[in-house]
Amino acid sequence: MPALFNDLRYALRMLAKRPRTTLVAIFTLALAIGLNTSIFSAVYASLLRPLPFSEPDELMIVLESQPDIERLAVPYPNYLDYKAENTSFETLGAMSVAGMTVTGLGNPEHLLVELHSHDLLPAFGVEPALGRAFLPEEDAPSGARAVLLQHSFWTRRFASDPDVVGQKLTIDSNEWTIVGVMPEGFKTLFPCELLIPLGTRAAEPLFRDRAARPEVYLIGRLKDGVSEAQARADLLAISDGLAQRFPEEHGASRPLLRPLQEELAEPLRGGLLLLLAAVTCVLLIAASNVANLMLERAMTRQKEMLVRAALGSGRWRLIRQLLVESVLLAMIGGAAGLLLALWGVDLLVAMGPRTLGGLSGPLTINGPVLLYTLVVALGTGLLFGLWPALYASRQDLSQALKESDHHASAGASRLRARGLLVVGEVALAVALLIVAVLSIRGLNQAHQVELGFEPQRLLMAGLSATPVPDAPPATAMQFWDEALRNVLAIPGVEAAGWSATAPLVTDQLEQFLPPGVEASPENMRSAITYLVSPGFIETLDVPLLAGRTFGSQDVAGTTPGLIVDQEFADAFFPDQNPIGQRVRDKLSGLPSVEIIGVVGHVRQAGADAPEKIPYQMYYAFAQLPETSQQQVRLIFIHMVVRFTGSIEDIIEPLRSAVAAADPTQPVFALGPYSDHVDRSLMARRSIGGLLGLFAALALVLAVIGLSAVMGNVVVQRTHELGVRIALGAQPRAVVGLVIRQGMTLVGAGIAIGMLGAYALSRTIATLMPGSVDETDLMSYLAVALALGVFGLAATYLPARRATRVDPMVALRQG
Amino acid sequence: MRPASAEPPPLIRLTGLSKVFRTDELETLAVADVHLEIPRGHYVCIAGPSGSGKTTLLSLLGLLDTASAGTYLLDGETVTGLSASARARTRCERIGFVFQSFNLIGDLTVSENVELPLTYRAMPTAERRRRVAAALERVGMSHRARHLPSQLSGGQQQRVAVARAVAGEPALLLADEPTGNLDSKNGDAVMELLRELHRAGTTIVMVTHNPDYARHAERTIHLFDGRVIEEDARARAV
Repeated sequence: MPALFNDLRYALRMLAKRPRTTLVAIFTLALAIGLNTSIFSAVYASLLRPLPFSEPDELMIVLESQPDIERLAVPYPNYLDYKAENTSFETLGAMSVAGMTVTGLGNPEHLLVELHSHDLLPAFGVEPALGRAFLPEEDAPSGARAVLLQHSFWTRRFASDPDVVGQKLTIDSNEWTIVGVMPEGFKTLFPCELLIPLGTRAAEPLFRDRAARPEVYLIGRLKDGVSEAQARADLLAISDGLAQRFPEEHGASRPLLRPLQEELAEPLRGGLLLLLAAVTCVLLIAASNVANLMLERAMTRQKEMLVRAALGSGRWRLIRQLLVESVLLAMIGGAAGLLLALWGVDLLVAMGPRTLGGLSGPLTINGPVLLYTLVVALGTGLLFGLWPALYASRQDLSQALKESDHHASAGASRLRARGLLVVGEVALAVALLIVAVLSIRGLNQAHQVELGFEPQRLLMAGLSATPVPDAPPATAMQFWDEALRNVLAIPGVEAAGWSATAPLVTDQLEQFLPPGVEASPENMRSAITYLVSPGFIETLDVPLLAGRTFGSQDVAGTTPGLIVDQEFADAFFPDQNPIGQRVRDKLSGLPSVEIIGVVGHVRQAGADAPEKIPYQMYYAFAQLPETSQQQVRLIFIHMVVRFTGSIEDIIEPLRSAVAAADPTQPVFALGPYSDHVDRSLMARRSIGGLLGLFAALALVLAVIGLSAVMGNVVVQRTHELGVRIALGAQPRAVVGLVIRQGMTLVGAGIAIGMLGAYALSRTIATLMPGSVDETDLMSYLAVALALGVFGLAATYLPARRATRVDPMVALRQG
Repeated sequence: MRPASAEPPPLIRLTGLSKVFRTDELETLAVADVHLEIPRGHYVCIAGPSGSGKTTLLSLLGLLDTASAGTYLLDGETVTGLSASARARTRCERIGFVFQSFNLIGDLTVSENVELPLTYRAMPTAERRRRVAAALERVGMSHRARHLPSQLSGGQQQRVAVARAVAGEPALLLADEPTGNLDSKNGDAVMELLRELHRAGTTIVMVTHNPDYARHAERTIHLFDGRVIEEDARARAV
């Protein structure tokens, strides 16, 4: 211990002796370690931190899949069967989501409401902070109307009133009794503000239909000793039974069981791992720079090492001495990095995807993140210290008694070692830059992608799906239509329409049987389905390719017609006119529905995301039979408005127009449609932005490293350059000599980096389909060229210095 | 012949010791078939022209280098063929060095420099400090214990280097041109210091070009082309 203490004391003295070098090293390390800590805090919070529920590993989510689509909500009757028949779950609860309007607390407010089965909170292992959870009898169609408030809603609308339990709340014109308040920060799948029992909806046709999927997700806690595979087999057996009993409805559906944490982390996993890889590259480049500094420092102390060895120090002792210095440096850098990370986390929250942290709450520098920083700092210290330490401790002791400390072989191998570090740095910077450029180009392409509709000068407003509680949809439609007529009368409004779902905002799937195939569950296909008013397609500016769109003649009581998109028409009627063709579907209430129009395909999943469901269908909502209208899931109605002039001139008149139809109805989610396009790109944009930032940093660090090494090359070769100049070498030849040496390293780094970038971008393309084009040669060449130019600049200045070597001074040094 | 037990073994016994440096094209015999015995307490000078192998022989004696052939017995123990770490241990415990260019470590104070070889031994801190104080006292540098080498004159630095060499109470003190970088006044002072150490019983092997200083030794070994060509033994012990 005393010896280690001596090493530490000496190390501190050595660091203090060269304050400028030490500060540069600490700053470089702090920056790289700080970035790593910040990104790891996001990785930990989003992917690794256990969910804030008791024994979260036992929590599973159950979805369903069909042959052509992987993740589907579960029909409510199926949930009841899974729940009743399974032997694997201690508790199997269910949840759904709905849009509901709260009145009686000032302005009407449309909110997202989570619908929970009464056993869901026990499955999570969570109890309300105030009051109680739902009772089984409340989780039924005839149950007393009980509501749980989210903590934020309780604070916002009830001023944290401790006596709120027992008070009434008007939701969709009905009185609900507040039975409790959830703990602060409680969150599951949706950003909701209220919770009501799921069973209150069980009598609705949508929830009674085994073929309908009203966004019900099952969440269960496995029994002790039951594995994921056993539970999966258990659910599959139940599903097979359902397929036999309900071949038409259940069809080819299969249960899909996944750990809840895995499922929630899925959307962020690829991007976060990419960012972690990027900051690791930055760290490696920074570590290489510091290794260069340490190598240089170790070399200047070669005589000291020789003396120490001559006086009896073993090699390990020499290595330890140098490692203590590098680890100390890294630890100081790590501590400074931690301070930077506090700011970095805020930056990440500001720049990163909004879902960062998932259910686990905000990003923080907590115990595991601190441990990560410690390990990274320690590892970095060993990484950049070990090579110089090994190198400097490899002593030829027979030199100890010799006077000169100029050893040609040592100089050459030192330059080789540093050259390798530079090649590595350039390679990492090139790889990271190429990936960043590919990612940013991918983002730009996503911006330029044909959405299939025109989002500019288009706004969207949300209207309640249930303006008149417990009334049939036709009654609600009267309100939507009247609001639409009023909106159309606003000066500056060119067109308007409404739909149950809208591109990039919400979606709904319906099944159909492709023409010419035998009717069987396996042959059914799904299509994105829009239930619209006349004018919706025109307002979006979706091109009409054949036939007609819906018009004022397509009212209730007329025969439903179907409009399909081009993908649908091309896939199923490739050599025929699709107009007049018939398709077997479920919604029209007819044996088959006639295609009356073909329109262009609109992007549904996102401007950049691959379309998992290729086909699209449009129905006029008014034409659907009432049973179908009741079987579709309506969270809210999307009114779209195309306008001229300024959006500000439309917003208030639009609110008034809706109020004129029904003053009790809120207008929500009001804003430019382009916001939804931007939102669909937000995660990619944040990741692309951060990646670009890290790549720029990597470039700067690599150029600094290259410049430092080339400067040292000139110093190392002063004697040789002096001889050359004395022998008559022209300045141009000396510059060329140094630049050639530097550019050889840069060239090798670029070549290796390009290969690395290809491998990395292929991985990214797998993790985040559609985000990068790994074969975009232009990006590779542009980055290679840029690095070449920067490399040339970094080597040119030392090369110019080389021409100023005084041959007499240089020769005397030799 | 006297029985072996009657006389202690010499401190150094070299038998046919050779050192060959090999490059791609050339083999250089730096030390050739040296047979040599140095009894404990002797003061030996190695002399010879440049390139005669003096420093190489000193390196071999100091276990800084390994022989190509022959055997080296230090205090009766074979030290040829020792591993690098065993050689480091032997150097640390039994051999002290005085270099021509002092080789003090610039970032350590005088007392830390003297303490340095002792830190490579498992020695209690108090004992280390006692020895450092004694060694500095011996060379008259106690008053400069907290100074850095750069604050000392060349002669003072070499005295500190001598203190460092003797602090560990080595069986053998090797000095390579100890006065080579000093003026005559400081050179004389350092030689006087070595003479005092020898009087106190230290075995010294010194390389020097200076015939005056060579005369301080009891015995001079002349090398030429790596071979011992002549030995002078002076009856007058110093």
